[in-house]
Amino acid sequence: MPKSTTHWALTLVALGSLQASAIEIEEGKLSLNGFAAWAYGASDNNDFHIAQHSGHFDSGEFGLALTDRLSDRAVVAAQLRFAAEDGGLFLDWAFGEWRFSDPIRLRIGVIKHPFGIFGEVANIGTLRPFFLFPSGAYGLTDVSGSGVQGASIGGTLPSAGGWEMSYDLYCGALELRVQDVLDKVVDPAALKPGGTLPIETEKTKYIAGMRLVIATPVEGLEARLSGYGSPIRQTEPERLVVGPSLQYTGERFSARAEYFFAYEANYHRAHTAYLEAAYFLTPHFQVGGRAEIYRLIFLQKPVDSPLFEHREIAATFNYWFDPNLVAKLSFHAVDGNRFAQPILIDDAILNGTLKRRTLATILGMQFSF
Amino acid sequence: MTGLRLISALLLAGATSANAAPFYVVVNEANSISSLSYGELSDLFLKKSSSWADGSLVEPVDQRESSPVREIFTRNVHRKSEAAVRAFWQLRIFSGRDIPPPEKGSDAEVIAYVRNNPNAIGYVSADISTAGVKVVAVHP
Repeated sequence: MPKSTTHWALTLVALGSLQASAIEIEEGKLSLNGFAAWAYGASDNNDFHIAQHSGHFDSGEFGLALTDRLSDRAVVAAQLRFAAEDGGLFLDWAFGEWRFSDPIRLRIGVIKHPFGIFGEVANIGTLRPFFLFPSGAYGLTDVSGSGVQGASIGGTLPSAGGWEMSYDLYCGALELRVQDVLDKVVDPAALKPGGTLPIETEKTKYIAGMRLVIATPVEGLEARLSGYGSPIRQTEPERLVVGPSLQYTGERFSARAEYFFAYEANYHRAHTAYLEAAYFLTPHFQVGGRAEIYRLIFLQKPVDSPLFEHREIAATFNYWFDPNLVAKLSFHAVDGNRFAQPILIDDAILNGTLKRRTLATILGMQFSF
Repeated sequence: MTGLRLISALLLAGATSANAAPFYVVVNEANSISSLSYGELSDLFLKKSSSWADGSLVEPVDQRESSPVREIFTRNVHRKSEAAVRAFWQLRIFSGRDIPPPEKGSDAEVIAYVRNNPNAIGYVSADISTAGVKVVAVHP
């Protein structure tokens, strides 16, 4: 085991043994919160996220969120995250907020992308049943962004009859972390021995987007509609991403479903959807299942490839030591290579040895405080 | 431990059955508010509603999670489990939207906080002295 991984594991065990609670200073005006995750992943074939054919230990990450209420109406907040595998320190968000009123709050800075159910909290494992988030919506695709650099207005409208609505309107530049598989299929001349599928950071400038969240009178049931588009200035290709989300969170049972449609003019469109449910058999032991589908379509000519497809069925078995500390064991059966490929993907395509199916196992721990 | 908390909660609920609510909601004596519904209380403690009628910022103060009165307050007012409220705050915190109210370790600490903060609101067990603060009538 590499030294850095040992340190991660020891740190997680040590932190996990602590009482999980935020650090409050000045009567709650300043708050420090954190989260972390580490997992071992293995697969029988292709690499699927942290599950690699040879086994993979180096997936730890740790983040700290700091919020300071400067005055009754002014708030500043920032979140830093260190990801061992990605080899760096990331500024997830850093913004200043002015609260005109409950329905109108203005933010300027780097804002976490208000998108779907998990867009803003994709790194917080204690908020979901599976160690991995759904790949199509929150993975390395051009659907959900890692952050919006710009401004947003959002707030909560007064509730009526058990209904409650909150909203976000935002504009600026959107950062996306993507793995672009299209070139591997539509431009075979670019394939070369030893070629891989790198993770790239794309920035789409001049986007505008919104998210509506409607809480229903049924306790725990809420619906969302998210979307964004570009350009609001003619310097970028036309893009549109939109989709609904539905979530129920009860004491023992939770379920969520989301669908998103993504479109880039003259290039591609994609559909992705998933359905997941989880149930606490005891106060500590939770089981869950998920089915997910993703389909990419190249718009310039009809092309079919397993690199454009992802179908997955997964099961998870979780033990919650505390609501802020959970161990998760999940199994994933994947068909398609959109998110599951060998490292040397060019070789597999050139040699005709690309395998569609992957079985992956992930054992990990996640916590927050 | 969970059983002990449950017994404490039941005893507390039984001992206060003569009151409209099995807890007292308290504000600073300078606060003009006289009654609140459970829905309004929930909005204040979850920071969905953040201003008093005069426009000043509401400063809710919570009890620790281990407190029996918090369990009762959460069930009656928020109509949620502790786990659901915790998940609500995790979502708020890590999306950078808000942070939960400060927590106090006892009824006496809550009373002291409310007495010293004109905009504060808290809740305490219904069997303790509320001298120095104002008790607000609450109703479902």
